[in-house]
Amino acid sequence: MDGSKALNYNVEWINDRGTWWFYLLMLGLSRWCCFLLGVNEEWAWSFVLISHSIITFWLVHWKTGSLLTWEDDSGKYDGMTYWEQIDDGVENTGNRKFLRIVPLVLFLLAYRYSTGWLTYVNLSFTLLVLVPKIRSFRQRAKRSSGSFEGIIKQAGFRSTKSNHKRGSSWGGDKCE
Amino acid sequence: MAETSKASVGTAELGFLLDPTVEQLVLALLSRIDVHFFVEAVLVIVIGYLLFQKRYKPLQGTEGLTEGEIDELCEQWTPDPLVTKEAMESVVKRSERVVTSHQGCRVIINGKESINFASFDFLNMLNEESIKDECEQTIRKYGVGSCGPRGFYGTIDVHLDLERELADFYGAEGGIIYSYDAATASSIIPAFLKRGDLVIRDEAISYSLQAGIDLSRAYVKEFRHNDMADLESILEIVKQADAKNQKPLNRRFIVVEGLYQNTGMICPLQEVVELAKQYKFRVLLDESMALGTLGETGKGSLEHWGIPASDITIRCGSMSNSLASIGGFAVADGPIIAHQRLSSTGYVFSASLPPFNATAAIAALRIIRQDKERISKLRENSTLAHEVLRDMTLNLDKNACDTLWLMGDEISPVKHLHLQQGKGTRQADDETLQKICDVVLDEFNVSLVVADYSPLQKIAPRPSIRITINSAQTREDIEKCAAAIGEAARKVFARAA
Repeated sequence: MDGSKALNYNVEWINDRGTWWFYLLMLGLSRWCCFLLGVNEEWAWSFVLISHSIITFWLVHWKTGSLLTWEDDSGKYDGMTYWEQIDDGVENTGNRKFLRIVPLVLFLLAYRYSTGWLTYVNLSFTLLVLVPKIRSFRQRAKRSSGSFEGIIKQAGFRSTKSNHKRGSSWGGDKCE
Repeated sequence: MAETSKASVGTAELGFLLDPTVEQLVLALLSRIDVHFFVEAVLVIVIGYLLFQKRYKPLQGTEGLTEGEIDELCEQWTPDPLVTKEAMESVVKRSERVVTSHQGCRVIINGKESINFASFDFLNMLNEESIKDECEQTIRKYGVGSCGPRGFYGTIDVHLDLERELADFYGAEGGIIYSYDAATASSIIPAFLKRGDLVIRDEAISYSLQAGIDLSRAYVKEFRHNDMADLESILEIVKQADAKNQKPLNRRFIVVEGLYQNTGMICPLQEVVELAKQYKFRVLLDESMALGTLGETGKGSLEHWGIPASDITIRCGSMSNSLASIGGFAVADGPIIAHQRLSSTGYVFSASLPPFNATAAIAALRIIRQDKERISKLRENSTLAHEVLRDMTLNLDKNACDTLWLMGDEISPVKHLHLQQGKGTRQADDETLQKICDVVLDEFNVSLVVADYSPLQKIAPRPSIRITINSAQTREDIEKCAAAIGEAARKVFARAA
């Protein structure tokens, strides 16, 4: 099965009711854990921010392909991160806005309590998850790095989706 | 925190007073602003900007539309016709021709006997009495249809016999047969190739192979027809791209035909195999035309080029040409055949080949093995046809509005006649060629066809008259055919001018 017209079940769950709430709840829960473990106030939000950034970066911007449903789509999403797969790559959807705002709010919270070098650490971890979210950042990075697929596509290889012109050197038709 | 910043205010200003440089001035000015508040304000503004940016929301169904708007949209909507006007116009009207005899060397078309240069029955198997007798016995035993796919009681002993015979004939480990030749390659290729795999194909391959490659969704690129330098340059690009490849290697095939139906040219298989070995590609070879026509004993391209069977990964082909039966086949190593029995759609999902067709193919294979005469006669006829047709094209009036040129290998039983100049559009060329064919049939009793290509075919060869040579044709037949085409072409070109 190819599933070209089907939903991308790999990221479809993000549109479920309660996903956003669950996400916020997890953040709140990790803050509460910090409280239970007795992490001091200056560190607590920074701790949440850093762990959130690491997990998000790995899951949303580093891993490619479909982690959950690889057998259903025969590699259709190979080479695409979760971020690129969300909402079929359409920009400015509710999900994308939400995922951009959360790290900013986390930074705001952490910034209130942190001073000195910890602020810079927080800043770099926030940028770690925000920079890959810049529109078409990932595609640009891919193109410049010259991946295998990038090179062969540039050389004229295509898969069925793309149309190509008729005509050829051994006397292909002239009309189209 | 406020205290800390206040304390730093003093130090920064003092620093400027002690050392009045620009640097110290900037620090002093910065210290005047509450950095913390400033950063927070900027962040809140950014968040606000993100939040109130125009949000893209995909329209889901009729959400957000009023009843009136829905009705209006429904009224405005006009369905596209299933068959567009352009598609109708692009189809050339062929005059209907009904055959009322067997398709041998002579054929009765619309009640009139003519010499047949249009059938793919190269070795004249259709007229073989022994084949008919054997088929009759099979029909008496099994009936006409098999009424079941191979997996569900559609496997009959003759099918297995034919698979063994084919494997034996080609010197391969195993064989598999398909009920329909056009579905053979288009089932085999998707069974082995998936999205992300690589195919490099000759641009002249037949539609069945093209469809197979498209269905597999593999990356595909064509090389110029029989142009080995072009093939190598593409392989070189892939090799360079491999240096950047971090993923496991994908499956890679070069797809060629032994003898091209669309051009009548023979594939330089030796070079293809060498390149494939050098660049670690597999080769899929279509033997539809080459079976029974190439090689001293008709065993196809491998015999013609003297290549061992192990160099070609999969060989597939049609049984409706030289074998004068129906269906397709593939021969390859055991595991490759076994994989197809569960993963090849054309094999799994269609009722198996009617048993008598299998019998006919077995009998035809036996005749090819025993009767070497036919193959040498076919070779002789093909060479002769090439000579006389070439002479005919050279003798056409150079000052006429157009001339013909011959395409095809000397020993190939398939020849194509193209228009030298053409009228600029595919359809006009097609019509001119069709006129020539009509005149040839009506006035000289020689049946020819203009090769037809589906609009589905993304790369279609130029329009041409296709001439197929048969082992039963005589020297006179071939000479008559060439002369008839020459006469007809002169007439049509004169009329056009």
